Amino acid sequence: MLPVWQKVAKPFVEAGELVVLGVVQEQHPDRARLYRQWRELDWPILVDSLNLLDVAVVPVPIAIDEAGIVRHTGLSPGMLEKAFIKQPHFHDKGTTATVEPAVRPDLDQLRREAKRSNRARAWRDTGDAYFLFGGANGIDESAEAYRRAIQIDPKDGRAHFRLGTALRRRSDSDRRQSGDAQGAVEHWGRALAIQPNQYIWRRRLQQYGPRLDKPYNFYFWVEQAREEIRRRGLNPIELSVEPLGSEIAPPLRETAAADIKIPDGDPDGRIHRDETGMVRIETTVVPARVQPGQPVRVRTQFRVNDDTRPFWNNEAQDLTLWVGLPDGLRLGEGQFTFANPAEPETQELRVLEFECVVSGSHAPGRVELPGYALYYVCAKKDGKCRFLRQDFRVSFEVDPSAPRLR
Amino acid sequence: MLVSMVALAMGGGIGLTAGQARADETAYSRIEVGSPHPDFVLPTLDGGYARLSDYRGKKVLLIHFASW
Repeated sequence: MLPVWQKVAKPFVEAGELVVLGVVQEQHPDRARLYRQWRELDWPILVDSLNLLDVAVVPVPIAIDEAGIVRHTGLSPGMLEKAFIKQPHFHDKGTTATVEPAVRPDLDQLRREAKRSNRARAWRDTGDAYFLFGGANGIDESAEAYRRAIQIDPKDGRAHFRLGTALRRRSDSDRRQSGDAQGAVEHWGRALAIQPNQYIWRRRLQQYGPRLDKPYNFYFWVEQAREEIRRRGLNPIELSVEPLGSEIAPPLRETAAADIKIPDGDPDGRIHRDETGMVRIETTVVPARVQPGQPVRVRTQFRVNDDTRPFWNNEAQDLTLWVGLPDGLRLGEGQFTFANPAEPETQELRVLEFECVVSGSHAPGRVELPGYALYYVCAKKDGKCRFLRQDFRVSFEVDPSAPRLR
Repeated sequence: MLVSMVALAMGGGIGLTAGQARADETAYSRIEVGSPHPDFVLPTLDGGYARLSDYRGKKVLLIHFASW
């Protein structure tokens, strides 16, 4: 779709008859930068991760005339010239109000005003402003403002979606807090329950969700794009967050028939625990509320400690995962071992994901899955390597009224 | 003022006037042919900000997309 628009619009852009603005509706803008490099798009591209413009589907081309009046929605590339470019005098029908120069909003003042009025809408606007204009530090203020909005109006789907987006952004940054990734999923889920026809919100949740819920494997194009860019003699734009696990997993149309059994690597619990936190584990379950008979996808993420920066010891055993399954759950499919890279020592983020299917007769209520990981890490300080265990617990809600992702 | 532009984009929803948007917060609207497109400010992929009304006087093709 976009390469076609690029080709059709280019002569008019070069002749000064048209401006094309892309607006990307996704969580990670740098993926759109890679896409733009690959497809050689030369338009300005704006980022609407918060879905501020309320677009519910993509792609949507909107033709706007010289006076700012919408002339077409859903214009086809073949009609661009005849139906839009060559149409004269559009500007006579609209206003020609003077455009004032843009200035940065006063974030403190917005927050003070929200505090004074204590209106949900004022808090949500404050969250938006901090997200857009607050820089790296603004993400905390943004999340807090959205929380205040939701406290006042728990039915505000936009505030839930935007809080999810802010939490996911923080979880992908150095400012991450425990529970951010799971919080994102939960708020996106609540947003979708309030407005189930919002396709952009649905996609955001599907991105991290079970394979049964996916229309196709997202970000399948990334590797192809990199190869083609390299063949042109260029370096592909680096991604701050590499698509992993559910983001690139191909969809399944049926649940795997056979149950997977994973061996318990420490049945007696004798392996030393990672008491100093050399590795930080974060788990995410999507969706956080699931109907009986449906799958959940669990993401386990392993990051070496940001402060002490130990190394994975790749000359020893692979990182492995064990999960205990309560009655009424079975494993669908998944990865329980992270194969060591070729280099002897590395510090990369490691992700393992698996799916569980809840039985159709499962009673409503909270489900808890105990699990642990076994790994070899070496301290940066003295080079000492240790084989360690770290326990974790994953929980989600079985709820017959939970929204379906599909 | 950028503040008001942001607020319009945030609250308005495409196709609604600011007043309508405040009256109907749950309307997930589509834009309307023949009506002004609500103004907005968003960050760009290259680190700056862009505002729709800065392109007033030119024909604009706004393409919403995702790279998924």
